[in-house]
Amino acid sequence: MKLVRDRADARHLPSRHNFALFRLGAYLRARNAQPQHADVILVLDRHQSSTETMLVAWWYVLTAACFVTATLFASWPLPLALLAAVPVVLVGVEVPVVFFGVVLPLTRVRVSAVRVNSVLMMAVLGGASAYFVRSASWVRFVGLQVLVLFALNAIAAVIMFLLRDSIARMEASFGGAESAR
Amino acid sequence: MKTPRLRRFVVNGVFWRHLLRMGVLCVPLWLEPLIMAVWSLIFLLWGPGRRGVMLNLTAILPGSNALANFFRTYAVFWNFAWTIADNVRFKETRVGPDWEISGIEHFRAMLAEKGGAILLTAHMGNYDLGAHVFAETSDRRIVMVRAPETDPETREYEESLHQRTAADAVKVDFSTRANDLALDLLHALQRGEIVAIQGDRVTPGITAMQAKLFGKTTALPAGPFALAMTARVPIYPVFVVRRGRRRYRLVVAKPLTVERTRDRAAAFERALAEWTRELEIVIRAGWFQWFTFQPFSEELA
Repeated sequence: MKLVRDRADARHLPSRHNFALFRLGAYLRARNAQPQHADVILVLDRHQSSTETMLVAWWYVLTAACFVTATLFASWPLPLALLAAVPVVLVGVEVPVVFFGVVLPLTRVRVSAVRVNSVLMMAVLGGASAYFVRSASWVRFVGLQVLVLFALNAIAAVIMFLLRDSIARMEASFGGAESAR
Repeated sequence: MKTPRLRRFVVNGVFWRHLLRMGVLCVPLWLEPLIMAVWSLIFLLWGPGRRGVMLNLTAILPGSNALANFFRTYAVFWNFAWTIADNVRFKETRVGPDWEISGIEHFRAMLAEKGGAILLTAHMGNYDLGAHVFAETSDRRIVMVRAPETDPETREYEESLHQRTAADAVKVDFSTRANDLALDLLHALQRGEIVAIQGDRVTPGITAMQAKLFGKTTALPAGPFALAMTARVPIYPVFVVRRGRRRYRLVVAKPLTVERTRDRAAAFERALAEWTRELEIVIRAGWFQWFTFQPFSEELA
């Protein structure tokens, strides 16, 4: 675990974000940030950003709820159908978590279950979006925004790759050090 | 009496520890808030815990009504879920939260103490992770005293997890063997180590003192005050307050001293009054993360 001490502005560092779009946003913000000295210890981990986590979590559940609405509750009034779809999604996302949590330790495969689940769930959402984008109902716009966001994230990933030296220099200037423990 | 197989599924059973570990090791981190929301809701079905928190809230927030306290109880469970998940994540993957330190002058004074020091804390925020901030910021060894798990399988699980994941600078001792432990802690303080004790709850077999908390009579442990008097070390009230997802604040307050006088009872009472005052301020501000699931006073029960 890498730590930055006494620099509150380190919370905007790209390496504290997971998705390329957020990393790019953080990079642009960090470039213009003034040094802020405070009694803090900040962790450099890619899942450290609360804003990103909360936004992605709710975006995922609401998008998936729209797809469930269009599939299972198509004949219901829309607000009611969306309300019913949210619990279905909340229960549905637990299934792969429990499945891989139980199955992976029984196999000889040594992979991170977090990573497997993460890729799988995004792939399912991407697949569903590709399917629904061809439909004639309102849900095609929901599918379209997912595909647009995936494309923007891919572009951001390319930009971040090209900026990798600049980012590494910027992060090094914060003097992050490995945890002592 | 439940059979051992069924006992695993009661609220403090080992099944939930395994499930939590599995969640931490399997849930995509961007999905975590949703999983937390669902499981906090499920644990709201735990009647005794829910009622305990609601009763405590009536004393902490006078005039609050039962419906509002029901929703506040959800906030307590939500914070508790994040706290225990952060703790397991740190133990399993060594990824910790961000820290802010409030009362840095007292924190530095504590680290600069030539002899030992006692950290008196409460069941708030993340007690276990707090110890690692000390380990991270100083070379001093910290001894944490905590109540053991009541369920034997859970206790075994916790102890094995601790042995597998503990840092050298943090030692955990359990407050069951009161007499032996008191001597061990005294020696630790005399060696200049820091001893962290939870001072808001009494476990069976531990000497207690009567105190007033939020106007209700309760029992608080006498051990920290007796230890401070014997070892002649200061007591630092320290609270680990959860500020958000993977964000904690370490609050270090002005140290208390327990004077060595002929009238021990009066000295204890003065120190206890100061401690309960600190405790009330912090709990009232952070009621949503005081993890006391039983009524803290018999008057409430």
